Amino acid sequence: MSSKEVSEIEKLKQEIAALKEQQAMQQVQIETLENELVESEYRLDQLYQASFEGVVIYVDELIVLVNERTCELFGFAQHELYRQTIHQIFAPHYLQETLLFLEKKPSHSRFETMCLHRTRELIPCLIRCKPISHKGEEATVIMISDLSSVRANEQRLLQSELLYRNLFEQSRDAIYISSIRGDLLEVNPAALKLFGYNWEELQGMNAMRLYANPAARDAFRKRIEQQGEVYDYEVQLRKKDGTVIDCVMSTSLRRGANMEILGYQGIIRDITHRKREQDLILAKEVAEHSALVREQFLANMSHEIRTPMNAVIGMTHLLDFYLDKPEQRKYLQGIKSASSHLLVIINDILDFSKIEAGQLILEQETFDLSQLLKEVEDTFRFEIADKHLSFILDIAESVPAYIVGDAARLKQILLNLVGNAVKFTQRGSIKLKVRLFEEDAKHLKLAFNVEDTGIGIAKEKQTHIFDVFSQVGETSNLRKSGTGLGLAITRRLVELQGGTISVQSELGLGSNFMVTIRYSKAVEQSAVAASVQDELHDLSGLTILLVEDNELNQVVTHDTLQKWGSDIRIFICSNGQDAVHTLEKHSFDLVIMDVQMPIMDGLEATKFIRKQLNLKDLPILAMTAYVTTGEAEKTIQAGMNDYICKPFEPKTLNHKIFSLVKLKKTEKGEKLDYFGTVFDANKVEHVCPSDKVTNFTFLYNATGGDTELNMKMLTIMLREVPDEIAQMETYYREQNWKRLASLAHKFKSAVTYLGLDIKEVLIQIQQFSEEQAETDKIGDLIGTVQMVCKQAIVEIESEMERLRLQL
Amino acid sequence: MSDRTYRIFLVDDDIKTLLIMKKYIETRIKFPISVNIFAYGENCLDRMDENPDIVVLDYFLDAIREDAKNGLEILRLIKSVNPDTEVIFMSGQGDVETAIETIRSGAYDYIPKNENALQRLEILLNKAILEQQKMEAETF
Repeated sequence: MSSKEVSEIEKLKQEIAALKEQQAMQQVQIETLENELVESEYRLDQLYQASFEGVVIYVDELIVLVNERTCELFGFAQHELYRQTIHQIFAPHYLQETLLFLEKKPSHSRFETMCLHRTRELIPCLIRCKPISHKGEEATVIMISDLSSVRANEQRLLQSELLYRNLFEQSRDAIYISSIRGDLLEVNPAALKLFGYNWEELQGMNAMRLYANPAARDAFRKRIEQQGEVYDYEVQLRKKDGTVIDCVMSTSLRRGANMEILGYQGIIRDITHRKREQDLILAKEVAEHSALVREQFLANMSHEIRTPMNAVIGMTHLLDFYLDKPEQRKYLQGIKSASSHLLVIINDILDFSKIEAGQLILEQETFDLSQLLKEVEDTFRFEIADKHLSFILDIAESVPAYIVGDAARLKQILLNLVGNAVKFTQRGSIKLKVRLFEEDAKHLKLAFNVEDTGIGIAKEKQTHIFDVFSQVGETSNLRKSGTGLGLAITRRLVELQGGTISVQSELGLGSNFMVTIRYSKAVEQSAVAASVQDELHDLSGLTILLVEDNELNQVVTHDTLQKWGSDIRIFICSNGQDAVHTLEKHSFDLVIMDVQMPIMDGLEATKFIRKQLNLKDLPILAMTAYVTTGEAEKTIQAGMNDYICKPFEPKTLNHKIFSLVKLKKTEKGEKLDYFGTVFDANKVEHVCPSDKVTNFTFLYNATGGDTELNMKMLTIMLREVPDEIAQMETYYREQNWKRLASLAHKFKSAVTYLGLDIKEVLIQIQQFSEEQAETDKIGDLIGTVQMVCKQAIVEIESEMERLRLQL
Repeated sequence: MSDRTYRIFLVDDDIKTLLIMKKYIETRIKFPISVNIFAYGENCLDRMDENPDIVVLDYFLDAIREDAKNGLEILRLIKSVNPDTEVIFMSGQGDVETAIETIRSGAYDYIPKNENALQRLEILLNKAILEQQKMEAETF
């Protein structure tokens, strides 16, 4: 071997050693690098795992890595997702577009999609993706952020926004938001509606331009700047069309997050209607006042008309006595019926205005129904005979003879209906039928039918006949004259009495009017029946003072009075002052006093007579042409005992005088006495009418004639007596003899004060109860007490009525 | 003679009778008096510290309340509180036994409730007041 060869080998050896060394170095390097790589991957894995966002790495759509957050998010364990396709983490509906996004692998871009929870619940997520190399392979990493809470917040915000938006949009009050300069930034539809602008016009417009009055605007602005907010500020604003509207405004400053002032916001409410309502109320008051004035006018007018009417009617009644030639009597009959007709018209108008004014007050008195029906028939007797009609009064047996209610108003209703029937019937008959419609323990309803065979009423007119100013006949038919108020009044009167009115009619065949009215049942009739008499009372021996300024009426009244007996002395004064002077010197049984007179009127005179002359018991009968209820009340308040309307019906005057003086003829000639308030028992003992069960002598004697106390006593007894009788019945039924005895004992006091003749009966009840003997008789005894007391109650009521007049 | 006001208490379970008696007494008695009315004896007892001079007492007082004390019981209680108060008894129970019983229990007098009761009450009240005046005059 050559040295060259040796050196060459040596060289090669060295090279090999060097290469080996190099290889070893490289190996170390590789190992180091490999270690580093593993380290780095591990760290990366750690990083992924620790991430607050979901991390998924996949290769060829197969998941190779998921972090814990992802598992938490979707409800899977890591091994459940490993090596699964990424499809299953996305919601099926969103899968396709999500995959499309992932294919492009655009770094830095985001995509919102829906992921799928293990429970199939959708989770809104934001994903980002990026290509990476994973263990040497080409992979993709997806970062998933949960948007649930963000979405929920957004939803809440949206709902809240919607809520306020709704309030804003739906509010009936106008709402506006303006800038600090006052430019309108937003207004709600109510505001647009209120001002009549559309949004384009209003947007950016300065709110200051909406004020109607610059001074009010500046004042408002000043206040808001000073106070920061102003509530319920009344201000006038102007609409687009220039109309000024009354509004109330509440405005406050609008501030930003740092409390800096951004502008204004406010609510405006249109109160024009409210203002108008106030105006209406005012107008209503004015109208009511004018209604009052009208009422006053009507009352005055009626007075003016009634005074001469009084004379006319009175004189015709008087003439009746002197005329005997048939011709004369015929003319007189003409005057009579014409004046009655005129009076009916006046009364119609008056009644109507009274009803309309709510001033009509219904009486509650016991009256003889059959008597009333006869009077109605009598009224039309001649007319019916003239027209050769027949009149049939048909009262069912079940209809009681006496009922409690307003007789005058029933008569008015029937007169109107029968009058119409007579007026519109040329041949055939008129039938007045009365039936018991229904009844309970205390009340009954009567049905009155007025049937005729007259011209009838066309169907289309039937609904209107009860209206004001409606006339059944054609206007050209002069014979059928009237105010056109008759049926309207009738209907109102019926309704006021809790009744109904209806009509059935066939044109050419006739009409049938049916009225139902509710009445109270009348108690025992004997006593009342006596008082409802048709004949005139004998007033012989009375001394009467007539106070009346109208000479004609003086004559009428004087002559009418004179006819009612012998030795009736009548003194006439023409005003209240004369009357007072006369009464100072002379005594009278009764004063008939006109209300409206010169110098001193009737009211004033009466007060003077009652107070200054101290003639508290002197009966004073007001004679008034004022027929409103208020006027009648005034006469009673002034101290008059009763009143009669002019023109008066002679019979009514006779009855009123009679009941005021309660004539009692003593054995000594024809001297008269009247039953007033009694101080002295001796004077009164014999005066009490025998058909009464009560006798208040003892009571009045005990109270010394103190009317107020008498009223109180009667009021107490009116309340106690029925209660105590009912209690007695209860105790009797329960056989509570001890209490019954005690109550019977107590009841004696009422019996004493009422002067009832049943003291013995009560003593027996008490005795039987105490001894519990003969208790079977107690029921009858209580029945007796009950019967007497029933009558007593009626008498107490009328006595109270009498006392009330003295108060 | 003193002209002081005499206090009179009226006790009756019937309000009507109370009102009537009060009115009657007030108008008829010529002495200065003040009258109080009671529907229950118990209420009258409550006011005994006002030293009424005379109490007019009904025998039966149970019309309003069943358990009310009767007049006789009230009388004894009045007398035990204030022996100087005179008690006049009234009753619809017109028998002599009741009258005797009430007088024995210390009543000033007894009035049967009949038509003359008020007049009798007037006489008795006048008499009782006169006696009291006389007694007071002697004391001074």
